[in-house]
Amino acid sequence: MSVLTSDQLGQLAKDYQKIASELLKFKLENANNMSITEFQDLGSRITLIVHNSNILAAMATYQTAEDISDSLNTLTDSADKIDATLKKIQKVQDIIDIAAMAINVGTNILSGNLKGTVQSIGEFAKKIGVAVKI
Amino acid sequence: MFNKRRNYLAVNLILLVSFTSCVNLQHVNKFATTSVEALARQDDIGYSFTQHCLDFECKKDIYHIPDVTKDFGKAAPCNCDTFKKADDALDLFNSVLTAYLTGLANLSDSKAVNYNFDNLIKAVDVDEIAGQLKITKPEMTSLGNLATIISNDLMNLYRKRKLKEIIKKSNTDFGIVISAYRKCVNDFFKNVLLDNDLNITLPNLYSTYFITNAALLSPLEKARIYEEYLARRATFETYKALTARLVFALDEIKDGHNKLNEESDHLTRNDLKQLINEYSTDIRAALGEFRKLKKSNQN
Repeated sequence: MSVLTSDQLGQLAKDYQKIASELLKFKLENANNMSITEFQDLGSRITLIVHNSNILAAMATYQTAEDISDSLNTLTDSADKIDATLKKIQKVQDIIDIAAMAINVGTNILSGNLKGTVQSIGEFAKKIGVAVKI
Repeated sequence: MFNKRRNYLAVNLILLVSFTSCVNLQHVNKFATTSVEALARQDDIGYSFTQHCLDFECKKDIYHIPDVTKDFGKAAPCNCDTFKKADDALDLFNSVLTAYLTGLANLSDSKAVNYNFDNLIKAVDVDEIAGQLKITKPEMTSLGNLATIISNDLMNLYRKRKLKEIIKKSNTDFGIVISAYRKCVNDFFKNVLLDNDLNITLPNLYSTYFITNAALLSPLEKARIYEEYLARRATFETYKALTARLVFALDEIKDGHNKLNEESDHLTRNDLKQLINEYSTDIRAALGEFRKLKKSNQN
């Protein structure tokens, strides 16, 4: 766990960025006054500073996710609740279909249609999720 | 007496149908669907924290990067763990927001509720019940149609109520998550990482390469490397522009959701519909610009 907040990490990343940017400006403006070794040395230092800035930006990013984990969980719960609501809505059509099948079973029994009774009970059982062997 | 009661029932049913059938949540559906589409663009930017690490830390030769470790005696092996963690965080924000907005899109979809009583009506044998109820086959069919309308409309009302509940309950956390995501994408990814690569690292590396090898490079090679430098700059400019489009879309999504929350008691009011549709149009426009930029970068 980081001891710095995401905002502090982000600010440090920007501070490093600013230093690297100033050094680059100096390097380019004074290219003619420096030896190749000095130019290379300054370039390497800029590379390291900018690397730190990038690392800090990456750390600030994942620290942000840790900071708001409660909100992330709440939003995930909301998405789950929506799914549950949608399932409920779907269930109403199932109930309508089950009612139709129940009536079919009753009609077939009353009319003595054995083949129809067996078939409609099978469909009914399948709809309500019960495995029935006749 | 029976007729009076039947008329009373009919009037009530008509009132109920006319009251409930105004539940149209198409604007919410459009807003949520477009938002989900915009969120999916994160992967299309074509650059990430990890990609930065792979390009600049692991494959140093492609950017003419000198070995800084030799100057400072410090081992700097290619380790992208921190950058991968940052990408995981961005993916987490994105996937949580996408799941929530997909749920809103599904719940506000008019196709979510489309009950059908046809099988039930067919199953009822009118001749069988003729003894108990004076009802004809056409009346039975009309009853079925009415049942379909009423149950669809009642369920649409339920959907609207649930939507209102969920939007109200989630708005604060939605705001926190999308603001955090925006901060990471805009402030840390775009304004630090991409800016560093574009405005510091590339000029720093290429200038060092040019000065160090000035005597060894032919004018033709110098020109080729300079062109390579400009092309790489252009690529990073495009990454930044693409990211800016995503950030713009995030702002619109946040404001749109906020508006839905503020007006959640009047989700179907015409002025709200118009306003939410404007947010959707703005997000769609940002998506269009995103696609155009992406296409121009590929050409």
